Amino acid sequence: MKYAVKSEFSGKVKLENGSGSFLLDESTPQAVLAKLYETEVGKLYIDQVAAPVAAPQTK
Amino acid sequence: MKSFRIISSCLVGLFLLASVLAPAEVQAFVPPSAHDFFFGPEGVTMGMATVSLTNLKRKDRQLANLGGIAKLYLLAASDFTADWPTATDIAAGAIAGPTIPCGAKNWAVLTFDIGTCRIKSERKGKLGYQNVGHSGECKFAGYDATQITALEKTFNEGGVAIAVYKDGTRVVLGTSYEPLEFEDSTDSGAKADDQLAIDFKFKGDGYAWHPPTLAPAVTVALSTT
Repeated sequence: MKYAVKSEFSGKVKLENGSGSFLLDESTPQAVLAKLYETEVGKLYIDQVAAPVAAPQTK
Repeated sequence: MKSFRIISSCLVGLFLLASVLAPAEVQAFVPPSAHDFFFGPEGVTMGMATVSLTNLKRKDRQLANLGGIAKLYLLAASDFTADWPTATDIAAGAIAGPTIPCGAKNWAVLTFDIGTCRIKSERKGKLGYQNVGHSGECKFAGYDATQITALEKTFNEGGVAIAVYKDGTRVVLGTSYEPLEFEDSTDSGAKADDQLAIDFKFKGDGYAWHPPTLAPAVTVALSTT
């Protein structure tokens, strides 16, 4: 599953909890976004996006 | 007269003995209106609640105990979508959360001069009427339009503060329904090495608890702009 920061919040919000402080922008690692998405607050700022489908192999 | 007193004392003694040996039967005998006076929840306590105190000890040895506040965040009382924190949110001195009811509103980050931020709380009042006051202060070097604009946002607006200690512990001051009030003062200083600074204070009164800690799982959204 892939995650992306909502465009209106990108670069403007930092989420902080006991694990640390995480700036939400285009360069935020997927693992961090996935962890933050598990929180109610994270869902307000992060979207779950569809993983790109692999192009079919042509022979 | 003397014999009357002796007989009365014996009767009271017998009543007390019966209360201990057969509380249910004695409870049925005593009128309901007098139950609260005679019987406590744990049996016969003669009108006084059972109280217990727990041990209170200093911080453990070999651990750091640094004074001062490392970070300070504020959110306006108007930005909360529900009362927070309430007594039910706090258990054993901590707020487990995991969510703060403020929607997608971001907490303002106060970048104060190092070594100038402190918070305090004090319990006061007579027995039966005690309450706790929360307060804090910090200083900001300078005086410019951006700072004044930020201060004006706190004009006639209450708020809740989260203060972060140097060991990472986060505590909550104030509540959304009885918010902290903000006060500030500025001083230009008289000569170059005086402090041209903004002094920012916040205080609230009438709480039932000292500032509770925030559990590590509680996530706070901070503004970066």
